[in-house]
Amino acid sequence: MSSCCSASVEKVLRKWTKILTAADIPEAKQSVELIISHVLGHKMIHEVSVSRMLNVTELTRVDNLCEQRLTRVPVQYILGEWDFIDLTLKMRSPVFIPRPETENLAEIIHSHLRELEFATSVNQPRRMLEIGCGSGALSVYLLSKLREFHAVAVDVSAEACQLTRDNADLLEVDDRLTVLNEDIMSDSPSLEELSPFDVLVSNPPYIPCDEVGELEPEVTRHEDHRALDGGVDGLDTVRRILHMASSLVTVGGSIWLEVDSRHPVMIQELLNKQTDTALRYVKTWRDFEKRDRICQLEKVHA
Amino acid sequence: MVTFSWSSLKLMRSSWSSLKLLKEIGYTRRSFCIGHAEKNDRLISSCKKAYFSDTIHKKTSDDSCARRQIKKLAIGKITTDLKKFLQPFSVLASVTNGVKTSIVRSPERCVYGTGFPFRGVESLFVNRIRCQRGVEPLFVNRIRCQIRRAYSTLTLSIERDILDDYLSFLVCEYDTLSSSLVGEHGEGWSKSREITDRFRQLTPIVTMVRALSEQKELIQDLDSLIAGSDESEMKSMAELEKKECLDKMAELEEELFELLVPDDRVDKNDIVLEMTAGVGGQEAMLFTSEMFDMYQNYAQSRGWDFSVISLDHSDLGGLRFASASISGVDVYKVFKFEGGVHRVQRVPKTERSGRVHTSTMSVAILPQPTEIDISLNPKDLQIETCRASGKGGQHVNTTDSAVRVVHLPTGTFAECQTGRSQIKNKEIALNVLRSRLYTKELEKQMSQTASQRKLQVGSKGRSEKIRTYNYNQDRITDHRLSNNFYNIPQFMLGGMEFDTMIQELLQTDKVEMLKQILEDFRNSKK
Repeated sequence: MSSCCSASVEKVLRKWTKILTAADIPEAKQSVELIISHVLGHKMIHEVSVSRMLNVTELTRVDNLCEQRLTRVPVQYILGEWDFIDLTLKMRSPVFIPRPETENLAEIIHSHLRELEFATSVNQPRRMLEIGCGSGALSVYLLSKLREFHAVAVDVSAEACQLTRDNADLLEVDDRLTVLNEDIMSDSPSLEELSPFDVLVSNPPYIPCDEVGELEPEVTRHEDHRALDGGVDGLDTVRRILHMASSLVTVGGSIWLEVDSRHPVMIQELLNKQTDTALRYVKTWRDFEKRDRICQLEKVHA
Repeated sequence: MVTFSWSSLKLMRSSWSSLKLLKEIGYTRRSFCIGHAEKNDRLISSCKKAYFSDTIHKKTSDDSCARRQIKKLAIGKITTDLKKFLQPFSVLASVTNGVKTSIVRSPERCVYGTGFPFRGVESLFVNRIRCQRGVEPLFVNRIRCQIRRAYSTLTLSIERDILDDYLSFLVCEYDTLSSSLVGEHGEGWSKSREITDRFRQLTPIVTMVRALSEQKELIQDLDSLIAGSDESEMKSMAELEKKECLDKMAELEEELFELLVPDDRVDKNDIVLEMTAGVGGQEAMLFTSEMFDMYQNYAQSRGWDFSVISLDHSDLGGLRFASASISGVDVYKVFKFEGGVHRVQRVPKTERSGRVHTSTMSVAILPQPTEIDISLNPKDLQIETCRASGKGGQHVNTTDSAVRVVHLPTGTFAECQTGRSQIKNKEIALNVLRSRLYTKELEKQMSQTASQRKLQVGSKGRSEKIRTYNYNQDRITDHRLSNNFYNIPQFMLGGMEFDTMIQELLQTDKVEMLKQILEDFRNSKK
């Protein structure tokens, strides 16, 4: 499908949109627009003139990338980068791609910690733990906004840990970030050593395992299932995190989790059953589609 | 009182830079072009061709008189006739190598010149002469300011009587307030708050009025001194002092004028600029794109932040729709009169038979409110994204980041797909929405204070044809101003030419507002 001579943005866009649409690729036009803009050094198609001509090298590049899209590779992997709020982060297969809902989580945590900072005006360095950091979006974003914070990011996947390090380098927050390649489901002595933390944040795998297989190929075929599969009810990792939080988080510290919309109720029931828990359920936050999405908890006593 | 004329005068010898200067100043209709008699004809015909086809006059008696005078000037003789001719001009600008001061010297006048021979004779000129070679922007700007100043004072002098009445009324009000402030104790807080606010507002005005009348008295004293004195040295000293007083008065008047017409409440706000191609298909879209570039250049030259919200390109490189947010100092103030329908008359690129088409595009200027001006209740908002269906979160991976926000109580909405981050797009969409709601709010307030002002902002102005760009005649007509502007290519670069028009619109608006204030005052007295 290679082209031998130059063609305009408009023409290439039309051609590939037709091909992708015929192959039933979701967001066909959107994908082609993003790929063309990327090849021409921009982010969005509106930054590029439609009459601009692509040379042979650019055309070949567009063709190659669009062919990848034909095999349902997520656009974010094809471009090798994606935006997270106001940051542009590297993306690499098979590390989980942050969703808009996680941007929401990051902003809520950010404004909460900001307020706290104003209220207490304690200027001493504060510590954050992220469990399941993936691309590192959450940690890197919060560290870039909150200069007094230091963070530890843990992920079971070595690729994820490397990507988190790369992104931390990119945004120059690597001096305040420690990345650990560990499986929290088994005992992790190094975390105990690094504790206590003032804040625990996580976007843990929360899709119930029987649903993982039914998702679009972009997700099931290309993203790391360890970042998606949350066990039978989707709460395996969440339960583990809540258990760990009791010992890792300081009294008065907050815990933030992104979960499935069915989970907040289940988590509250879970906490109610455990009479000896050190955690208090504070609030459920909704995403912009008004689905219950984010759980805020607090450690109340030792 | 200082009498100003509408005209500015250009004295020139032969230099082409004089022509350039005149063009740069842009006040061509009020300007005279005078040159060497032997070169005059050639210059005028070149002028006609080059820049101001309809502004150079035919041979009027004034014109021929001026030519005669200049001929004499050229051979170095200064006549009283020329002095008379120059009398009505408030600003003299020259690129010549010095003008003999006795011609141009007059206490009411500012003289600007370029060229080295001014050095040394500086003190002989009225004031503020800077020596510069060539036509430099600073020089041009200074002249422009001076003309503007002359213009504003002129308008003030039209309504002199009523203005004086109004000012003395304000002084009275001030005196009453100040005495009540001293005496008052037990009254309600809110009332006293009102009084102090008004008092604070009046204080600078009254200070200015008093300073002005001081100067006036001083001048009267000097006048009687001049009339009564026989000693020539004494007389010239008094005249010098009088000149200084008049200068001071002009400055004070200018400041008073600014105080009487306060800035709009939203003048300092940032804006959302929206442009939509109108009648004329592809040609209208091409023009929209040119206008967009002009605004972008202008914003950048002012050091403002210009960020694109959305662009809808047409196939030929035009724009169907464009929006951008502009932030900086006084952005709304400068852009507020841009809202409306802009009309372009030219032979489109797409036209093969060479016919002139008329196309339109419209501009809307929405002031961006601060968080306090418009606070949005999350309950009133409906946010639409591509993630509405299904479970969202980890279940789906989408790249469509477009966001649409609807304000349910009013049905107002805003969309954004500027970037790849959905939350960022949402933020921008909310900003646009806030601006839309704010504009509506402001319009409501404005329609309540039903004004007869010629310059309208907001939606009333949005459907109104405000400006015509005639490429064939290289002329831009703003339908709210009395004079035309020239040199479209330069104008469309969004530089000084565009700024001149903006400044003139602002000035016209201020004058209109002052007239309104005085009119209201007159009516209230009846």
